[in-house]
Amino acid sequence: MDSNFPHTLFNMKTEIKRNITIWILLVLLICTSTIFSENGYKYSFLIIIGLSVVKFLSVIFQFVEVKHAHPVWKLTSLLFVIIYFFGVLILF
Amino acid sequence: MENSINKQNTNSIYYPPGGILIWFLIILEIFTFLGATLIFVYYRHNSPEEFAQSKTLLNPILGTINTIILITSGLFIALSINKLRENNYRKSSLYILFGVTLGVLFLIIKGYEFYHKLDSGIGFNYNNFFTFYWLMTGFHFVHVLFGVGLLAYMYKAVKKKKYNAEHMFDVEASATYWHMCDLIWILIFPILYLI
Repeated sequence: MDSNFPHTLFNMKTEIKRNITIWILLVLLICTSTIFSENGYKYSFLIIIGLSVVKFLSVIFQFVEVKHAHPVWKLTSLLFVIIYFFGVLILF
Repeated sequence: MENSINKQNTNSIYYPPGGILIWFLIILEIFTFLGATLIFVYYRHNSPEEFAQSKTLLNPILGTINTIILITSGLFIALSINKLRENNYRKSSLYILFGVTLGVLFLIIKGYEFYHKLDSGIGFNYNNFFTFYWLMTGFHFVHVLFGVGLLAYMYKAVKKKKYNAEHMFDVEASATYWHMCDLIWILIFPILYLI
C-alpha cells in the first residue's frame, strides 16, 4: 500500500526542525514535571497533569502527524486528553 | 496530480497516520490505559496514605531518565520517517537503529527497576498501589518489547531498500505503534511516579 502522507506538500527540512523543537520542549516539560513533584508545591498535581496533557498533544500532533490528518482524528485526540485531564481532576 | 491524490488521502477519515487499523489498536490501547489510570486515581483517593507511602518506594529520577530516553527514541523514529520520505535510506535506517537502541535501553532500565522491586519483596500482591504499578508498567513493558522487535525488522527492511517514499505504509504504521508506547508512558508515568 502506498504512503498516505503528502511528503511532497511540505518541506521536510521544516518538519525535521519542528520535530527537534518539539523534542526539546518535551524534555523541558518532563524535567519541569519532576521538579514540581519534588518540591511539594500545593498545586503541583494540577501542573503535572496539565503538563502531561501538553506532552501528549505535542507527541500525537507532531510525531504521529495527526496535524495532517482528518479533523475526526484531531478531535478524537483532543477528546481523549479532555477525559484524561478532567477524569483525573475529579477523582483525585 | 500526485499531490492532489495524496492530499485527498490525507484528508480522508479512512487514512489517519499509519492507517486506520493501527488507529483502532491505538484507541483500544490508550482507552484501556486511561481506564486503569482513572481506577488507580480513584483507589488513591480512598487510600491516600498507603499510595503516598508506596510512591516513595519508586525512583522518580530513574523514571524521568527513562521517559526522556523513550521520547528521544520517538524523535528518532519520527526523523527516520522524514528521511525515508526523501528516499534517504542510510539516514532513515540509522535513525531507526538509534530509536531501537534507546528502546532497548528503556527496557534494560525498566528491567533493573523490576528486578530491584522483586528483590526487595515488592511484588504484585504487596498492596493496591503496586498491583496497579505491576499491571500498568508490566503491560507497557510488553508493548515496548514488541515495538523493539517491530522496529528492528523495519531497520533491516529499510536498509535493504524494501520501502521508499511512495511505498512506506508499513514503516509509518510501525512508527505510529512506537509513538503509542510514548503516549501510554506519558499518561502513566506522572500518575505512578510524580503525584
